[in-house]
Amino acid sequence: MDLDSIARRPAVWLGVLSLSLAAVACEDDDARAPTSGSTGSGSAGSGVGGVDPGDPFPVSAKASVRMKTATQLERDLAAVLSLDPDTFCMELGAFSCADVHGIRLSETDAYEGGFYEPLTETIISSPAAVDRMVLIGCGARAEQDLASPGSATIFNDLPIAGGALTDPAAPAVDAAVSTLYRRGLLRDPTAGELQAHRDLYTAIAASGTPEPALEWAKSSCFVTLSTLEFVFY
Amino acid sequence: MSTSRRRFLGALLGAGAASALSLAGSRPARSGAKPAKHLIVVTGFGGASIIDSFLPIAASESQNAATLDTYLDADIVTVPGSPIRTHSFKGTVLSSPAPGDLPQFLAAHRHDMMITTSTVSSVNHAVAQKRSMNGGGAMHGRTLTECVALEYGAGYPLPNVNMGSLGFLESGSDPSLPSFARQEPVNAPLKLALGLDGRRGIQGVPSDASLELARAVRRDRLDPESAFYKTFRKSDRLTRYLAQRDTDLPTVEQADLVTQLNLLGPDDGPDGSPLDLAAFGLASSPDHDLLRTVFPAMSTDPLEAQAALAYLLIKNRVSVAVTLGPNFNLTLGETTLIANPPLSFDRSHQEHRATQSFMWGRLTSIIDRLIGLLKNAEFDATTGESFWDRTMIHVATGFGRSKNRPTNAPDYSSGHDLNNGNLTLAPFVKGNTVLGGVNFDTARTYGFDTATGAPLTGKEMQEGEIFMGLLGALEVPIAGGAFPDVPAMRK
Repeated sequence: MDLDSIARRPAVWLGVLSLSLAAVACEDDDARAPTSGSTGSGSAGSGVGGVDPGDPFPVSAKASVRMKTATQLERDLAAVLSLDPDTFCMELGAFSCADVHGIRLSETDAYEGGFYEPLTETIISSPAAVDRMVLIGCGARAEQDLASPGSATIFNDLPIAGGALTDPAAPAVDAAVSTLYRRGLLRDPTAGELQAHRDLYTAIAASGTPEPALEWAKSSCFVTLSTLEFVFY
Repeated sequence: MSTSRRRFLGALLGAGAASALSLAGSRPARSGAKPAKHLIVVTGFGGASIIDSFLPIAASESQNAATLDTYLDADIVTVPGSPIRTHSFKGTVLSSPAPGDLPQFLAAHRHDMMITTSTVSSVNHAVAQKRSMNGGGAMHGRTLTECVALEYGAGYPLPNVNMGSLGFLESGSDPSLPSFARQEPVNAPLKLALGLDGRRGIQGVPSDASLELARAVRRDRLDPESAFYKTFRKSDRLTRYLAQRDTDLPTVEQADLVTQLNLLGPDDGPDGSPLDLAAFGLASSPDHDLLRTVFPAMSTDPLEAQAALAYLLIKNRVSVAVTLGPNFNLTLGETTLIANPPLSFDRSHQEHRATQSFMWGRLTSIIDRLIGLLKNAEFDATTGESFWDRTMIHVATGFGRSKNRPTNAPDYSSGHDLNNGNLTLAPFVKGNTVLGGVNFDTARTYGFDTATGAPLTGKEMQEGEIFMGLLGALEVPIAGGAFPDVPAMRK
């Protein structure tokens, strides 16, 4: 399905708008976000009906989330990044990512591994599998986009000279991040998220890497499409 | 990441919410702990019958030899000075001769071999297999491997690796078990290494420095800011994933397991095509050539690959508990038609004797080679102990096979039977010993006194008692267990 057409639908934009407004409203509530060592111990449930009246994001009492399977992740990445779903993700250029990482991401392997039921919980190698699949996809997208400015899918017309962004705050940079969010998360980035991506570029450039723009494009894509929001549903 | 490094990143990224999603380590520090003992469970998938391996009955010993699972007197093999016996019968399955050599195995390893008897509580494959791993719930529902991982595994990157199948692959049922002791299932041992690093082995990947920065942004700013996380932050799944992603994965990456455990070699591309690891910045394990020599079929035989990985996991101090074994699937051989028959031991429904011979030969061949490797790997330079000195190999199986046969049938179909026994090997178990015995006229095994080891013909051992005996030998505390200590099973 064409994600751009989805993004143009009024209903989608209403959803994006409401999320954005909620996100803006949330800016002052970051102080209530979990702090180090306290993940998952939010104060949900202190208000009426389990909702903290001061929190614009009612905390789900059941918190029933699922992780995408390897195939779901592979297909979603292919759609978001406009890559061939059957070939883009290969380990060592030889093995299908969905095959290599299948059981780590809730799939089975009955015929070879005798693995008949999908895991219900993630294992230590699950996040590595996610990071690898996202890095492979994002690497391909970023390289193709930066090689064809003007017709890129996500990182379009970035102001690049000598491998670096000439203006990390340029509208084209924010536009690329926004495109990434719309295609991947079906919403616009918040102001804080936009700033985080800009800061990421600044940090990468400061690290002395020879092609900071390309490194940032790959990394920016990676951090967006490996967030909890993209990997779980 | 050091504290100063994290502070630097936080300042550089201007993150007011720096470390918002950081977690306290998911495993306790390992300080002053006793040296690890390791457990390798080899699964006798489908019903490994003890009276068809190391407790066989000679026909002349039984009044019912013609209708029971007995062996020709000439096939019974004993070793001077050992109460353990075996047989020299070698069957053929699907035109493939049984591998291994049971008499040779007995001669080589009898001093570390302990035969125990048992009568289990289920003949359903999945249920019986699970109970063989958790002793029928004898220790809060924890499996043997979970108990060992809990006792010794803190600080190990992957304390408990499970390459088994069906019931052998099931986790225990103790919800209070710390997450680090839970099993890491592995279905493709040759490619496990690719799941132990989130970045290496990918062409064109951003530099380590850039990825470190990116991960920090994801962890400290993007995830905490998302409405999704704020809404579902009470999810145990998210909490668990964050701990694995932000705490465990960096630890595993720092241990360079993508190299240490990499069993892929230059000929391991699809269908044996070349594989250029160097082009992806990777290399085979330093032990790859050695393992290719010991397990020459590991590219095509999953059991050999599992054994090779088990060695690397133990020797590199990655794991303290490893489960491996065949499953229901057929494996084609390199020099014979098959390497593993369909259904493994459960093919005894078609040809009991040939199947038992084939599968016992296959498992003991693998065990023999594993022991050889572990004996040559130094565990402690101070004490001179090898890894084998601190490792137990336990052949777990769901149940035994029925004892009867059509009169004088050379081969026949057998069913599932609760009554059976186990093979366990370790330098610290009561080696060169049979605990309990077998009634020659019924082919049923009987038990033993758990304190003295004296045979008790009127008793059959429960799976929980054997479970406790194994834990005792492994020096895993058994307080709170459903059965008392079994000192007869350890030196």
